[in-house]
Amino acid sequence: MSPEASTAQSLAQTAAEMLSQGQVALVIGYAPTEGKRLSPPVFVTTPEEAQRLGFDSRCFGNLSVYLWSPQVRQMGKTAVVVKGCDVRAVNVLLRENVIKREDIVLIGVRCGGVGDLPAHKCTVCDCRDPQGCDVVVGDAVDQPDGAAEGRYSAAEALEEKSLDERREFWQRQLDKCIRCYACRQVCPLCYCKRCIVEKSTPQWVETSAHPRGNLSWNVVRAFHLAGRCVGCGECERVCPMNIPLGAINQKMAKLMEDEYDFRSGMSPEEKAPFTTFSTDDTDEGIL
Amino acid sequence: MIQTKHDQDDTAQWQPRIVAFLCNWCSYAGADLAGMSRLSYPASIKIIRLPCSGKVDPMFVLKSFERGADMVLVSGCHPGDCHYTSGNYHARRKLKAFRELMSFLGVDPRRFKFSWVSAAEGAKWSKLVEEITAEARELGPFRTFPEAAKTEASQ
Amino acid sequence: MINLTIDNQQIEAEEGKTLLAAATLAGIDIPTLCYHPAVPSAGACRICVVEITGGGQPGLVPACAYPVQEGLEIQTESERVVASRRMTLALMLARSPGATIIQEMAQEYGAEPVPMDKGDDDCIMCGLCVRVCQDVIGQSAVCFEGRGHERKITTPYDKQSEVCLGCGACAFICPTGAIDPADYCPHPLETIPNDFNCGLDTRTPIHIPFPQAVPNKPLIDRENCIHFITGGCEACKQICPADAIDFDMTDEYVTEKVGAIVVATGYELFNPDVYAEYGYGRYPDVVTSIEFERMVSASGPTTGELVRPSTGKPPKTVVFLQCIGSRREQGGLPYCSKICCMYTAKHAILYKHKVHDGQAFVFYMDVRSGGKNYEQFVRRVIKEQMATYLRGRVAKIFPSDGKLIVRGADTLSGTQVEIAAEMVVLAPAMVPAAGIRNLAQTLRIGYDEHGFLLEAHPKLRPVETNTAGVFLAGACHSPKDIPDSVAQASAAASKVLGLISHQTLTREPTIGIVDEETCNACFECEGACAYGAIGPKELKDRKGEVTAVVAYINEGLCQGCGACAVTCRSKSIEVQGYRDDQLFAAINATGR
Repeated sequence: MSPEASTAQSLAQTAAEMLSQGQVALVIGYAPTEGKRLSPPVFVTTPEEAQRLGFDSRCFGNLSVYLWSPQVRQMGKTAVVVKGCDVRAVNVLLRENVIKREDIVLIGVRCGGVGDLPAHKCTVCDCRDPQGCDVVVGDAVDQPDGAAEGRYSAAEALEEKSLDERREFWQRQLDKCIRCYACRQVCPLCYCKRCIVEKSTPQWVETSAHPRGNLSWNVVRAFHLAGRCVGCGECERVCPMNIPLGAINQKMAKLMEDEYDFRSGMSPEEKAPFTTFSTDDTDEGIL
Repeated sequence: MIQTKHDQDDTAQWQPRIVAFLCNWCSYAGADLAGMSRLSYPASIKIIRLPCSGKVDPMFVLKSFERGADMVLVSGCHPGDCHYTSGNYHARRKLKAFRELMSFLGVDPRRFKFSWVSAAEGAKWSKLVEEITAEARELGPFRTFPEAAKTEASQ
Repeated sequence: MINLTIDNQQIEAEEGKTLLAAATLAGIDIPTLCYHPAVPSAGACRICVVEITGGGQPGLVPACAYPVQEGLEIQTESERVVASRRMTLALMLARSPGATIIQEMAQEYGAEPVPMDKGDDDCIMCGLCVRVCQDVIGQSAVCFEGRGHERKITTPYDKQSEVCLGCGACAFICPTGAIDPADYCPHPLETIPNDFNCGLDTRTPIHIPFPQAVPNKPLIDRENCIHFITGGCEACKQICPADAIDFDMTDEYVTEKVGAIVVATGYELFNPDVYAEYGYGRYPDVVTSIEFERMVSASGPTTGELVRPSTGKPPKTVVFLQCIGSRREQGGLPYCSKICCMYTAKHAILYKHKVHDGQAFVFYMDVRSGGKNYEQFVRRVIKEQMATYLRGRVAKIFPSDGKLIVRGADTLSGTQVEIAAEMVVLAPAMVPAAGIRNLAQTLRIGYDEHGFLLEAHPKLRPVETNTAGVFLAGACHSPKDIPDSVAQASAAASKVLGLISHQTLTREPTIGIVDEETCNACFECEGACAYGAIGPKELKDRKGEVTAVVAYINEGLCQGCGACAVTCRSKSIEVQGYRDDQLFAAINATGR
């Protein structure tokens, strides 16, 4: 049996057991499908359906995004299939009281990286073995060597450019934005009941696809994710205009690691840098 | 149509527009003291009073730039002196990250200033405004929001 | 009860009491040497002998050990008694001619030294030290050794005792002062400086912190108490008739919920030893004003006698130096300490009262005597020549021939003056109490560069701080004298009463409110709040079932800083008066 088939079997078996024993009402997982570019999510409520579950290198999605949707919550206790990197998003949701640990079951799956050419996040991954899960399935996988290096390569490449070059680059990129908010919809951490762009009194961010609002939207999005983004890269993947959003997120994540020795989502107990302060923070650049 | 100073792009005449967010207890009082002490400083600065520098949301800064500010200043109490004990510490942390983010996106970080001015520092305030006005004049009009003036005029 | 007669006086005494106890209770004095109420009696020294003249076996018995008996007739000063005491004292005098108490008692009883080998030992072999160590302390560190004239009191094998706790009870109780614990004690007793008297005298580990302390009760200084160092001693517990000693009592943190706080932490004096020219700390006769204050106080280290620390004699010339550290922008403090001019004038008067032929000089910068009758007070000191006022600074103080030469300028006559002083009194600047910054940060109130706490408004709200419910009184706010402190404290008290006498609390309207519709309940705002004003609130439907949990801002605690509003990503918190739409409009207005 191929490793993929055996992982699929364990997933199906685990899910079927949980559903038949009534431990969970719903299992969210991936359903690898012949001929598709990515393995779509599947919502399984009966042991029979559990056979559809599987895992392969096309499982890009971060399924934790569904955990806080009202429809899923309504169904009761939910099990979700998570890669090691997805667990970090779950940790942030836990630390921000969005979900409760007792309401979910985490089925971790060991992942050797997604994408034909592995995605950037997979080449620098240091969490292929999921931590803090209730069950972990799949064969052991190796961590890539030197994962910490190049973690923020996209941001660093831009940092090396001059201010003018950066301005030109981002003006071109952000001009493309059509304000579809796909980046927001796919983000597991964009759970606000009312996004700031939807607040109309006052309308801080202009909603039309206009260069002015585009910059503000992307600044606000990045700032709201600062110290929270776990680098799953879904926003960049789903952007229909191919705006390199990951670089902006990397910039903020790099800042958090450099300044505050903080990487988001490493544990559900952590305290995010923006919810606290230190009297020793730098006064550099303050007049 | 209202002609703003912003539109008169004659460098000799041109006055930068600086939006300043001041905390109520230190910097606003410091600016007040400058006034009471009859210290003069450029009229380029538009002051918005907030309870605390910790109340400054990055949105305020963005919106100021959108509305045509050439420079934004946030000023609060010196570290340890915050009326609310820690608002300025929160501000320091967030606004540093904000400045780095703006710089990353190609916005000149020199257009975003942060200062500590106490209620007793009227002289520092007037000197600070002199200096940043000179710097803003040197930097010239802020053009990252090229449509700002146009939209503004149509409103 | 037992009835007996002492010195023809009918007395009732409890059964089991000694004659000494019965006599003492009746106010009849019987001399003792080897007796101490805390130590079991031994009848060793025979000074307390009394004569039984009836009701029992006639003869001399030691009063400290002999129990009361029904119908006994006792004479305490009969011829036989006096003769016996005289003989005892004569023998003691021969053995210990140097002991003051023996000399005094011998004189009282007319005892002459008997023609025997003269000793030079102050120990009269009463054994009180042995008994106190054994029976009270329970250690047996000292004992008798040898027989006949070789008998002595020592530690076993004459070595430093391993069981000695160093409590010093033996030395304390010795009637003749023959014991120096340092000779054999492995834990030499250290003298403890008395803080209240600026270390000018010493105190014991059990002490009343200062005269007129409230409550006026002694306390145990655990750091220096033998019991807390070695686990032994407990002599105080044995001796305390009220059984009030409790070694388990500890300092404790008391948590109280209060509606208002008045800060009245007072001041300390700037340490003048940073100015080498004044020689404070080097020359014993250079003292600070507070040390002088204690010296002339009747409850002070010298019980009010003003003496030079170096010689113990009254100083004939005293020089007072004002503005030590005050009004000194370089290397000092820029402010005026306000009280020094007045207390220096008072000190000059006190000095004249203590040393009538003494001469006082005051070096001053300006005499600042603003206050009711203050100017008249200073004028009186000058007019009545209680002190010579010299306007100028002192450049140097140095010792010469047992005196201190004070070299300074008299700017009014334009001359340099040199005064040979026997004492110099410095008036150091007032500084806020140590730890004031920590306290201010805890209470979230402001303080200036010197640590003095900030009032809400210098003219209109001088008693309040910027934090609601916290008020100021006294020198923690600025240098102040007693009338000003009392006035401010009274104002603070009435502000507090004004606050807590109402059913409702008045607060600033500019506080945060939560939009419960859009709150994500992530509680990141809770982390940003410096006041602990944010907590969870359950939203319930009509049936009373919880439908959601959202953030709630306690309007009594919120101060309206807005840190929470910035932390809130969904913009679900608004600060009243600084609402988003108001600020949006303000920012928009800058664009026109």
